[in-house]
Amino acid sequence: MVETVEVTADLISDGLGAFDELEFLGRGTFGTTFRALRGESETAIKVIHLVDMPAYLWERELTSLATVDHPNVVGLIGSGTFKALGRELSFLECEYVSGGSVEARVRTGERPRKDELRALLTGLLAGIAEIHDLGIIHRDIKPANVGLRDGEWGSPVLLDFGVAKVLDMTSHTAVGQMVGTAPYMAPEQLRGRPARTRSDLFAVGLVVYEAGTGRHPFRSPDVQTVQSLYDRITSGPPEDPRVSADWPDDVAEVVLRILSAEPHERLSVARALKDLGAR
Amino acid sequence: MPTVAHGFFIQPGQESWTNVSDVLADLAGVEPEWRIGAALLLPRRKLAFWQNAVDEWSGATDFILADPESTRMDRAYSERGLGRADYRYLAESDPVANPERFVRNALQAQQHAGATTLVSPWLRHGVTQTEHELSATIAFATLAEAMAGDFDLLMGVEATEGVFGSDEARNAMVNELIEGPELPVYLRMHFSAPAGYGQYRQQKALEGLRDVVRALDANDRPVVMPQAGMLGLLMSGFGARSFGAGMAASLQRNTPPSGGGSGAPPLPWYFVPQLLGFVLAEELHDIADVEGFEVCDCPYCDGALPATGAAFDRMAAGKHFLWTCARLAAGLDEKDAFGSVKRLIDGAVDFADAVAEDGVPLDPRSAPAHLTVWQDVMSD
Repeated sequence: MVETVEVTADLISDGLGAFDELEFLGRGTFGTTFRALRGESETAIKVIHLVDMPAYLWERELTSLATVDHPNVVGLIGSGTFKALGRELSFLECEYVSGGSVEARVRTGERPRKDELRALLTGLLAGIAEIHDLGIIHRDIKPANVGLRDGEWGSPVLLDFGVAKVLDMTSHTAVGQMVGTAPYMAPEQLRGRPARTRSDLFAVGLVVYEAGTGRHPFRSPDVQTVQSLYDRITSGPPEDPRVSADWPDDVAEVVLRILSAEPHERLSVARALKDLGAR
Repeated sequence: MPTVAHGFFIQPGQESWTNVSDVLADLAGVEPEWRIGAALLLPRRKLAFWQNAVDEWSGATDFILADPESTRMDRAYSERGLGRADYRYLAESDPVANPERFVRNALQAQQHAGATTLVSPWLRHGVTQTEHELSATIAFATLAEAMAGDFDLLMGVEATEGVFGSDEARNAMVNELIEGPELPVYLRMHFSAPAGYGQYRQQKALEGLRDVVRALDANDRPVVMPQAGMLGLLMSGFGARSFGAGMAASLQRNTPPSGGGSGAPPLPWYFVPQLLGFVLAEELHDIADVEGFEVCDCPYCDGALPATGAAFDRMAAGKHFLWTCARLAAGLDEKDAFGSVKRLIDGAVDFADAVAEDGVPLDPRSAPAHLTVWQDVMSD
């Protein structure tokens, strides 16, 4: 069992100095995130609450990520460690994306229009194309990790980088676990194989499908475990989103292709963007 | 670059290089439009030998490859080829531990020999129960991509027929390959030498090979198939762009698998394009009477059937095979290679039926048993 610490605003202030505002945003699998305001600067600070996770696991990717300047990839401002509770805790400081996440918007029942859906997909594809070119794999793309700049469906921003590599180092997807731990993983990840670029692509498909239909393409009352999720994904494609929602044909076709169970059957990012007329 | 269009490349083996030179010169002179290359099997000869050969061949070829045959690295140094002392990569004790030096030396050896397109070295996947060799192969290609400079580069890949025949192993391999550098793939399927003379017909492995070729092509990694012969032609229907074969593939050096050891004289095999396979020369005279047979007009047959008995000319039969491979590759429709190959196989099945209906006696070793399997492979 991995030990965790409870990250509070006071703990961050003790470690990183005083802020004008520290607003709790959420606690994920391995990090706790706050919106931090200091003077004119508004950022998001994520503190890794898993204890004894060596920083080298994600340092290389963060170094690469720091060079990225792309509208669909969150800007990394810095990273480091601070002492608190007698331990050394790692943190990341990123651009704060104020428009909420895809997850939050889906929960309200709102759906993107056709043009917004296309822009959501092309934006996410452009974002992963950028990071993949640098050798970075996100590994944890899900509706909660896609921000919407200024609240616009058509301006998605990939959030929460680097630390997802920790997922590969832990037994997160043992068959038999409840599906709630892994609904946005590609089938190869569910089988315990390392995430690859096309694993990110699959996750983009899941996010866009869910944004455009309001539901996960593979989950149902029968799908409760990682094994049953894997079996469902590999048994065939999901329902065509055009059955229940008004989708552009090319967007639906690209999403269905990138949701293929076998990575080599997914369109490459470049091909998907080309099919959407974005390149 | 062997992936620009459908083409064929000759892979010289034990025969005199003048035979290869003859065929290349004849092809360039008579059919200059056909896309023809040569692939040296680098470790098998000294560097000077290959340099002389390339001097002679370069004017008659569209591309020259120098196959590093890097699977020889799992043999003792003394068994890595006659030319081993000339190629530093063959002296590497552990390619995985010293990948940069190994890859650099392997590419340099190819350049020194005169290759116009380079091939990254590889290890054979499927010989252990791990992906160790596959990972190393991809790492070699990644390094080679950075080192190749202005040269065109192919990614060398080889796996056992067991990998191709297993859905899970095959998919895992392809999924890893498409995460590697985006390069055309120089692909071999390794299998033990068949006990007979017929074309390869293990259906499960063939279907797997088909799926791999198709998946790589769909992922912008066109395939080149060395030492493939008619198997390469079959795979051209699924995305393979060029295939190679040598005189050895024309069976002129094969001895009968009698179990009695070596020493038996080779049988007089002759390649019949209408059957996409070989028959014995003496059978050809009956086959020639079957409707649909056309006498070969290549420079080595010159519109006549091959002589039989002591007059049978093995080298001419070998050259006829190479010429026919080149003709078949050149005849593929660039826009519908699948249709071209399917028509060839369907036509061969029809011709085989006609041979049977006419009561032409064929030695069991000549029976075109591969055709129905190949038809099944084409049917999916």
